[in-house]
Amino acid sequence: MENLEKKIQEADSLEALEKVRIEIFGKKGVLSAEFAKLKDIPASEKKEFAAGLNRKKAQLLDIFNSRHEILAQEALHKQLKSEDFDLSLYSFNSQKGALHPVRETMDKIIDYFVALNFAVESGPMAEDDFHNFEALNLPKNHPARDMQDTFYFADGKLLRTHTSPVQIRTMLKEEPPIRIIAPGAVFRRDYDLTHTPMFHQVEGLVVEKGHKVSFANLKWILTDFLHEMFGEVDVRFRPSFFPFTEPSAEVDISCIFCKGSGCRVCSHTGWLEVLGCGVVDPNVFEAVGYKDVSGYAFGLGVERFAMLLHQIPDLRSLFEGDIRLLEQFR
Amino acid sequence: MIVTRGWLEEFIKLDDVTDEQLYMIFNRIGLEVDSIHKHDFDKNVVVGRVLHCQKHPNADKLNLCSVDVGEDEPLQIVCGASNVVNAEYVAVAKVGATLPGDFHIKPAKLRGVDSFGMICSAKEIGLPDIGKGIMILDDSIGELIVGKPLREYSDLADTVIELELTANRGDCLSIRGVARDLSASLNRELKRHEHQKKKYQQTGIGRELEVHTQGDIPVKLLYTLLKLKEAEVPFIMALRLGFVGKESNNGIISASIDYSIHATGVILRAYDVARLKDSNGKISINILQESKGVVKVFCDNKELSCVGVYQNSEYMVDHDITDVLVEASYIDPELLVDAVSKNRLKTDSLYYNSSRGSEPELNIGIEYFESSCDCAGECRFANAPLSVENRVEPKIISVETEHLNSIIGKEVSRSTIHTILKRLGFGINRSGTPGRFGAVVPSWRHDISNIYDIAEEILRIVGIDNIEPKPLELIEKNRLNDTTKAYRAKRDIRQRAVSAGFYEAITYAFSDRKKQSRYGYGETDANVELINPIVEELNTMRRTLLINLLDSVSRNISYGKKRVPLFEIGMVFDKERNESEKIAFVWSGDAKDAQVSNQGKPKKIDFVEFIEKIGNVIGDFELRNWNPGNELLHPYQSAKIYKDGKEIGFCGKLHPKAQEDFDIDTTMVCEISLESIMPKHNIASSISNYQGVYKDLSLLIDKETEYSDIRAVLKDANIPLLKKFFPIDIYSDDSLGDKMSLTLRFYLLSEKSTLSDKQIEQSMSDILKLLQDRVGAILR
Repeated sequence: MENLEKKIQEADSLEALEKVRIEIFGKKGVLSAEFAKLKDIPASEKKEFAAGLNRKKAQLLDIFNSRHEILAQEALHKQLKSEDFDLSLYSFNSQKGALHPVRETMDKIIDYFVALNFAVESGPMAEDDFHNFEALNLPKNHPARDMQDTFYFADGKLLRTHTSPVQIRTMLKEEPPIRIIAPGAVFRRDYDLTHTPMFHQVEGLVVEKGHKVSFANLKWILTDFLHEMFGEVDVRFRPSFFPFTEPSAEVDISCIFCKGSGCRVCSHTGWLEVLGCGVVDPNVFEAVGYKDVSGYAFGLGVERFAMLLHQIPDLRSLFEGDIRLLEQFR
Repeated sequence: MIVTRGWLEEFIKLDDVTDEQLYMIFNRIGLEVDSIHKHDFDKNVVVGRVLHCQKHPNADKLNLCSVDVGEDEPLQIVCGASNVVNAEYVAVAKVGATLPGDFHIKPAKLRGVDSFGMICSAKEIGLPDIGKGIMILDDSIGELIVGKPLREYSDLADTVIELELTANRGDCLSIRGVARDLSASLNRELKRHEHQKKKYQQTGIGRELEVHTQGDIPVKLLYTLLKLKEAEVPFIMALRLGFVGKESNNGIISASIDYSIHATGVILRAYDVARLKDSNGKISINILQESKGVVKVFCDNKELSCVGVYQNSEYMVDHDITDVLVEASYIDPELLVDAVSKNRLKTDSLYYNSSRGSEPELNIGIEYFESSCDCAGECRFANAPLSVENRVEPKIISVETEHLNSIIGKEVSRSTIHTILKRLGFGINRSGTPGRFGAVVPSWRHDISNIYDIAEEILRIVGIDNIEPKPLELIEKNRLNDTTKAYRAKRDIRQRAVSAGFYEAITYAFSDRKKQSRYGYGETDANVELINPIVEELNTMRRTLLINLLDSVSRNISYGKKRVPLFEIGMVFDKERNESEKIAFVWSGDAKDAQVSNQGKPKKIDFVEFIEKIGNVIGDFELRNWNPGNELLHPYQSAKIYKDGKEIGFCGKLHPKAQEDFDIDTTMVCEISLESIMPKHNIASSISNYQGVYKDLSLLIDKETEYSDIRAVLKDANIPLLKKFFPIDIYSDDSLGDKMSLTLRFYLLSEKSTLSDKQIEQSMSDILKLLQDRVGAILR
């Protein structure tokens, strides 16, 4: 009886413990044998003997249970250990692709304006002179046409030099109030480090009946828009000239790289030019047959926004499908 | 347009305005500052007076000079410039001075002779290069005081500002024009350029010059005669011409003309009198309009010039000529530009000014010219210039103050509006109606034609900074139009393509005609072809997105990428240049990146894996085998893609020849019409409450039989309980000969009841019979 405890304690596996269990608690085990002695014991001692034996049994069960617990833990641990697997080997980059930063930037711009109740509009890339120039107050020989070197087709059509013809198309098919943006590719015959023959613009146009729309409205929305895009920047409006708006302005933000103190990106001016805008010129309204209306328009280059927002140094890399660039946007 | 502060000050008081303020004002009023540079010099660079000059004892080309710099003793300075011999006042960098380029002046020994300083050229002290040798000063910059630092002469230490003018502001292509804009912004007077003519002998012009016109001449012209003796280009004229990037070495007349044009904006031309005089010593000028806007000036039969366009070089004034006929001219730029374009006239450098609107106040130009010649030497002027003028009534714009303010979005008072317009040269006609006035447009503002133009003037002078931004109140309107919806759907498609592993690319909408032809895309019709492409490789509009994408693949491979999955959504153009939007996918090289799970040896992309990825983007589709018969796609691994029974695009493996051309690995491509994969509205059908069963059939069929035929047969048969079927295995070996084994799985379901064994058996036997009859299938 004495070494029973020891036997339990020394069982070193669940299997060994099971053997010990059978040896002690089994039908033919040690305890059963002890209880069998009861019948030979005088009645007067019986009660005490039985009580002693039950105590002993309970004691042994306790020891057994705790031993079982320990061994079961060990066994589980062993099993888990055997399934050891270095997951850190698999912390690779995902094999997901990525959106193009120019399109992603365009998405953001569109998000802003759609949230302000603008509709998205589109138009063809092969345009005619009327929609691209004439109706936008850019008659033939206008000096401002020099600013836009144009691709022409044999039949006299051209590749749109800006998204502004979409303004004209929209006004010709709808009545005010108009509130649209027109994102899309535009084309100019210019190809060097800072110019590509195709790039993207987003154009905006708002027209209301009567003398309702003012330059102050334009200032509000563009200031808010630029804060949405670039965060806490200073916004500066400079009077400028576009044939289709009057008054016109160019809009700068304080340089997001040097915070306005002057650096290479902003040519040491502290400012970055990001937008052109103005109150719609009455000649444009006349060209589409609108009377007694007022409106504003604006336009921006998406590549410029994308390059500033993501600090992309090379414009041309945006048109090369270069995965070294694209995979940074996963 | 380059201006200098000193030059501007001839026309407007600026002494209380800092450079910083000038910079701000220019930007604020719409004259964008490109650059601003204040010239400054070391305090040890001073005015010196050359007392005498002799040859260096040991060097032929060096001079030994004694120069007074206002100190006790004159300095001995060795100078290499040949023009020092004639110099009196010069710029001297004394010992201790530092010149641009961190050049320190120290006592030196030159060929054995001590030299204590340097006589400087303009370039050496950071000024523009204005002629050979050292810079010779004269009192045109103020009284020359020996020893006085150069930095104290404001015309030398001037601030040079380069403005980027917009195309409409021809009126600011002169110093005076810019000053005029400043005068409105600063609300101060524009000075009239003051010059007391020294009143040398004046000649009566009528005795020497006659001007005749024929018919209506839509220009302004002013002529005068000038004789000049012993004149030299004053230092300040050379310096300022240098500041604005112009030459001053072609003689006094040429320099004065350029100087006066830049100062006043009036187009001036000078003619050599000697070559114009007839036998009686008279000049007879004839002016006529050849065609609309083409106004030519003749002397006898000699064509002298075309107004605003060019001048005949034969009668130009060259270096030594000092007896000249001077012409000032103005022509309406709109008239001019159309005429030049229509007649394809050759233009000279002044055309830029005349086509953008030169200064029409011609007498200002002539007066400025005379005064600058007068400063240069002994002059004799004609008493009064002869003028030809086409009187044009000034434009008057009716302005309603309230409308004007509604354009700007701020209440600008009537008096402020009037003050600004007057400073800009407008006249104000008060009308009887309250809140309304007439703005008389000055002749030099051809760009102003309506109230919006007036609003722009007010806005820029008031300053956009002073306009309070106001949100526009708008009426609610549903603006979720088709384009907006399509845009959102496109965005979802792009996002799915990215999740399927593709990178989004943007390539040019152009392509290479030859290359497109090689891969089976015909040429664009000649009448809609691009006529002025920028480079050979981009000489036509793209017929497919794939070729540009394959070029991108090729570049990526050359950068060392092994796995190149790209997609693009973009416009392609057909033979007739009609536009349609497509989405294209390419996957080249490895199917996955090298990693532990593939022991660093990922397998190449194959058709099955590629098409699964496409499915993740576009949803269910059907493939029909297709031999494209070109060198872009593999003849036996290409298919047309169908969706809902309609052909929507194609996919396949790149042809080995194309693979070689682009120098890339195994590549899969696909191009689909974007419209065909836009989300559609679905209607749900009721779901059966009963269970369906799957049944397989293994069939022997001819090897040549295409699955798409079997599919068509089964679809057309419309077997009532057959809800779905699909292939699950194909097998062939030698024992099967010309046959192969195809296993199909069929899903049978009834909406009305649980299927009985009998129903199932009946359906399966119908199917088998159909396939036996129609495609010769045999049950295996």
